[in-house]
Amino acid sequence: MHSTTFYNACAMGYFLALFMLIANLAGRKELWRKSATITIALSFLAQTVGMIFRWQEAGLVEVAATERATGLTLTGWTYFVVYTQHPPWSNLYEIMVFMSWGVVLVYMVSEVKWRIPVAGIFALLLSLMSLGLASLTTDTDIKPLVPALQSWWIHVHVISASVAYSAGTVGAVTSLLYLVAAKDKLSLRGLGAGTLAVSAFLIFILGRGLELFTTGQYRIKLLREMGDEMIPVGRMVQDKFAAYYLASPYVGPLLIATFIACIVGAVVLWKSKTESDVPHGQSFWAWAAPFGLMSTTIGLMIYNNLSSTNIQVADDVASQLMPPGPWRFAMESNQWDMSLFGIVWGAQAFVSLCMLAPATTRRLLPSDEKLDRVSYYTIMIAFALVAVVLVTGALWAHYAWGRYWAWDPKETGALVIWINYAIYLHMRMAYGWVGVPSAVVGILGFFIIIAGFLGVNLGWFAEGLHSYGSA
Amino acid sequence: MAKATTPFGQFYERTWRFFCSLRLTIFTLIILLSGCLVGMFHDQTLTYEEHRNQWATAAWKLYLYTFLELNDVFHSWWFGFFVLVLALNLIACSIERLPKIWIDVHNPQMRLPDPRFHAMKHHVHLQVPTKEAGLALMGKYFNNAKALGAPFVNADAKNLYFFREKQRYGRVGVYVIHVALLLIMFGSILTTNFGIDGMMMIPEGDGRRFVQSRGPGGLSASHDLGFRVQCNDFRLKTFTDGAPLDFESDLVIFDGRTNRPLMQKTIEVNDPLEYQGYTFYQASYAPRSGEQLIKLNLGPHGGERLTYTLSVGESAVMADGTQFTPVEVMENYGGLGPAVRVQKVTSDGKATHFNVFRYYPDFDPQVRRGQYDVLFLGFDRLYATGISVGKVPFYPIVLLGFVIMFLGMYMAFFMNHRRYWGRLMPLDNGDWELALVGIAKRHPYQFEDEFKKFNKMGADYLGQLQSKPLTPTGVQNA
Repeated sequence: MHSTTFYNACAMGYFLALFMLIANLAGRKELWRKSATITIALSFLAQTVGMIFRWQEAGLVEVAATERATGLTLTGWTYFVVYTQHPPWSNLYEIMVFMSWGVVLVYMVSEVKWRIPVAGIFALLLSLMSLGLASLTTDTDIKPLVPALQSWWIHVHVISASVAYSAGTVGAVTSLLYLVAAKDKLSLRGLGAGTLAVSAFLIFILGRGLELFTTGQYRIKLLREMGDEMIPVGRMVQDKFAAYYLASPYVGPLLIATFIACIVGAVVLWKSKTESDVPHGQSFWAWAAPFGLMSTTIGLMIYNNLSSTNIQVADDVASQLMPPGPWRFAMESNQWDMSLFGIVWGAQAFVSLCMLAPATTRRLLPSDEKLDRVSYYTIMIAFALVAVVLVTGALWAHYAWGRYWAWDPKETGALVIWINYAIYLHMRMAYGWVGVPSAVVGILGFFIIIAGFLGVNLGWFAEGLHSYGSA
Repeated sequence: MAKATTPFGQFYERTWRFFCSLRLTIFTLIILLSGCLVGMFHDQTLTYEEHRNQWATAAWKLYLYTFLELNDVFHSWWFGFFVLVLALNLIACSIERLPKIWIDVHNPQMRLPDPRFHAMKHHVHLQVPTKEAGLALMGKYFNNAKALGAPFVNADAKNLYFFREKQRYGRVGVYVIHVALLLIMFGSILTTNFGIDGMMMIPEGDGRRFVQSRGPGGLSASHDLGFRVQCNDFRLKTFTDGAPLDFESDLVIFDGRTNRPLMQKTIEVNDPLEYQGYTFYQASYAPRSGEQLIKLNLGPHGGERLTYTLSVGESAVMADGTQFTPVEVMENYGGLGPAVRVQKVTSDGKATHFNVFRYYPDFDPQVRRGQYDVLFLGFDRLYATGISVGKVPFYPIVLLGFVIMFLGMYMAFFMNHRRYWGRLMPLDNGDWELALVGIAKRHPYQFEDEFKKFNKMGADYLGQLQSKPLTPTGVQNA
């Protein structure tokens, strides 16, 4: 048996459970909810077993590599230490699997405690996305652990990070659901405006800031197909391999159009004088236009990725690139961007659904009070665990690098996540801003987690001490 | 606080209120957040000079860049300023609110006036047949509340009053967290001013006394340790694909004046050397020469051997004058793996040659059986070891801050200050009215559940009594 067998089984289980939860929502049958819970629990178990297998596989690699490097045969305690020193959360692939595990764990706990199967749909979608991203990472092989990670600190540090960020994610999901459910506090119009503002901001970030507007291009990674693997194409720039990025045809202008439509839509929806909950007339189009454009853009991105199988590059550049052609685009060209766009598109689709059938969706959701409560507790847990991450990180850094705090991008990222949740808690406890404002901060927390946690590994920021894994 | 009348008093009061306000906290946190984001997006590892060209396109841009010290955001004047503002804000908030909370915690109002009693959100109102039944149920409630000590009981001419509270120190948790944060900030400021965070590249066999670090304004600074750190040997273990498995350095510390060795240790990643408050970490390495060196393990037959690292043609001299010189390297000798051809010259000038093998260490002592045993231990290169030097003089303060922070978080999140007031009141019809109200400072939802449970307990109890049908009297005056 191989760990991936378990991961595949677990992905299928989550997928099945997703449909069961939807069936439960549609038919209100307790049986569906129960079978979904059992399916999720079994798949979760499969994933856990898969991770144990992965740990064991990594242990064998470590032992073999160490024996070959030192020429010694390991026995006893040394063998045990080397065998267990490579946990299944040491590179990007494993972290993504672990995140999906954490999200399901937090969801299961909240399901037992609060019974919110609707949040389960979102949690499972995010978990499946995380698994999908894991399977798209190029570097899935087990390589011996770099010396800096060979420490017991990694366990408590990474486990608390995974659970903290998963709790934050679940908190963001319930916050979003809260915003829909709290109909006397926020209209769907206002929610639409917020969604469009977040979409515009994300386009700005993923379009590499001003680059999208100055060049009019949205560039993605050039790949070379080798067997069943996609290898990034690039050239050496000062001893470092730099991936080569090329414009995805027509996506740039479409993204700019979507960006403008989002801004205009957000302003129109926000300023719209009509008292109605659901946008009508002019404000309906202000919502529909950006949503349609966003869908088209994402569709075009997928089409480009799948259809551009033979890409020609200018000769002077082509001679520097390696590995040699034929080059192509694939989902691996921009899987991270795609998943973030996908999350935002999913939120837009969800809000659209709510606008189409406001009464039905609100009836299917738990009470706003309950959703607020779940967000509050999950985010409180996230806050406490991020503190654990920061402190264990500081202790480890003191022990390994001689400084407990170095303002390294990843450290700072965790601090930013923590401060954001501190603001959330202060708003609630001291100002009594319970409800819409805190839900907004809770949702922002999700994007801050993405930026602070994954952004560093994806090279969005300046390089730091934490960049072990990369896409 | 009495209303200030003098201009100074008004100014003082306004300043004080400014520093107490939570708006300032949120504002400062947002500024610090932005600073963090700038520091994450903008490369902080380069120096000002390296960034300058990029920003020198317009005078105002460079001026702004220099003014905001964007090359070193986290040590810039404004970041430090706002950390200080946050600290003052925390102190002021605590001074303003803590005494009030402390007084409230220690002086609870044990009997609530009726309007407040009836205005409480969480309540139980039941009609019980007798006073004894009421007392029994009240006892059940307070046992369920699991409070320490006996409940306060007080009676006037007519009514009985009860009071109990639990986890009252949970109220102070937030301030414990604040104290911890202040300690951490204080420790960090001290560390920034008195600590060292530098780097030394020490070539193998060489020593260094000065640490290069980044001083004020991002300028490079040199710091005298007062002693010399020498690297005797650097060893790099690699996997077959060349990726490093582990690397370690043998460090010796020599007295700066007398040049006596004081301490020695082999350091590796995650296992540093500590000396006089300085900590020396294995951080990196760099090859110094491309030349391949040969490691030979030499000694009298069957006796103790020493390791020599020699280049081709370089000799190791034994006590009796015998010289061993590697003269030829064979990457794969007859399919037996790497081997070295060694020349042996005895003190009387007689020269002989023989081969030693990397993978057959027993060959020389057991097959050739010469006067000396020669073992070929493999190849080596000259490296410079990268030692990162840290001095965090006030680390215990920060550590204490961490501990206190977790204590505070436990108090703030897991302890919930709850107060319960009960009242037993005779009714006109001979029944007694049992009323229980409560207030919680945190986790209102959980508290609501607790009162739901109380209501259910009451209903069950009355059902058990098999007495009059249950008639909750509802909230009066709500």
